[in-house]
Amino acid sequence: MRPKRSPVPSKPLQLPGEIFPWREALRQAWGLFLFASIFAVIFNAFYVDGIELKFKPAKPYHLMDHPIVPTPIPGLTGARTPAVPKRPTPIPSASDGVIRVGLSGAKNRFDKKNCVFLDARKPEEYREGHIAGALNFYGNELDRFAPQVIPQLTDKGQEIIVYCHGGDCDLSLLVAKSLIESGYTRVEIFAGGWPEWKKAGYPVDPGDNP
Amino acid sequence: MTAQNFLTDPILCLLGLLLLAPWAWLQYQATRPKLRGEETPGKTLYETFLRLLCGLLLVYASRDKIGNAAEFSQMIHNYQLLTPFLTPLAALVIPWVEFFSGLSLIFGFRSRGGALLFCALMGLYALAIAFDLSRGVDINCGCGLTDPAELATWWSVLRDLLFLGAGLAVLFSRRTLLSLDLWLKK
Repeated sequence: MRPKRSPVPSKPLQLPGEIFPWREALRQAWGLFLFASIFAVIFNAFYVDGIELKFKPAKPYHLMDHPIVPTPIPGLTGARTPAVPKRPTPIPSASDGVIRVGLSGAKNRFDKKNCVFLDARKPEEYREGHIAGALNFYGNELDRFAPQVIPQLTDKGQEIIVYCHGGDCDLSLLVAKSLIESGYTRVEIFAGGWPEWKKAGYPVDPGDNP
Repeated sequence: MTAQNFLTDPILCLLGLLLLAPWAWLQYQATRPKLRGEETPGKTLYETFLRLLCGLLLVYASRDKIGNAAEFSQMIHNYQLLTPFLTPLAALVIPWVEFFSGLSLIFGFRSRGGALLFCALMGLYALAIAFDLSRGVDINCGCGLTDPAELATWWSVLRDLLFLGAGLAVLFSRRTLLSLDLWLKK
């Protein structure tokens, strides 16, 4: 038995332009894009924190250009301890040549107390909380923070771990690269950074002091 | 726990799937011989809901980028996809494009254009993250939805593709409700 035909008449064949109004969509999208772009440029011109339309990647600060007399860190175990032959497996970096350590690696060094932690985040973020004993060395204002931090890094072979917001955070990379270029040989980045450390419930300190 | 800590990429993927499933069902219903591709009120209503949601998503995602062009341009620079000339321009324009596309979707004003831009942005983000992941560049997503410190993963790509699916549903919707376009046509 043949099925009954539907009483609704079949539609005539539709061309692609009739099925979806591409022209209308493209015209509207272009209009919105143009409006947003013009608005963005005008906003940027009048905004206090507006940017220059010429991109300048943040330059590593050459610490050697600003010689500072080193003094030992009070409370730190002093010079580099040679008896740390086994390093936790480093996470290879993507392309920048700086070694990353994971959470276990960072905790391992922290427990051994022969490693200096540098917090490359903003001072306000540092004040809210940081890895216990970490020094604040804000990556975007190296010249301001260097006179306070560098005198405490007496040994160029001192193990240093830099961290910021985690991931491939630029701030820690900036600090790490500057230190490496200044001759520090054991600088690494804690890839997970502050969020991972805090999440793990490891020792943290609030306030301005390390 | 803040919303950003909670909104990890796998959770956003799950939300995307949960959003697309009812739409797929409604779409299937509409293709049945009885309806012959006609719009049902349920489908119109759901597509309107998706439109509003996509709009809110864009506005929410743009909130941190607007006014922080310097940080956002550094983030774009990390993707290593644009030239130094284009990087600040992109950092300046993309957040506002997101914002105005979002508003256009929320208010239903030029919403087809807004939906097209939404799809273009999601497609672009998915491609950029996939490209960087495939060549081994670790990047922070900078998407404005998840935790800023969270690394971009293949979940981020899937998330953007699911959002793209929602955007396409809005783009190809034939009817919509609560729209300024409709009101202006009257």
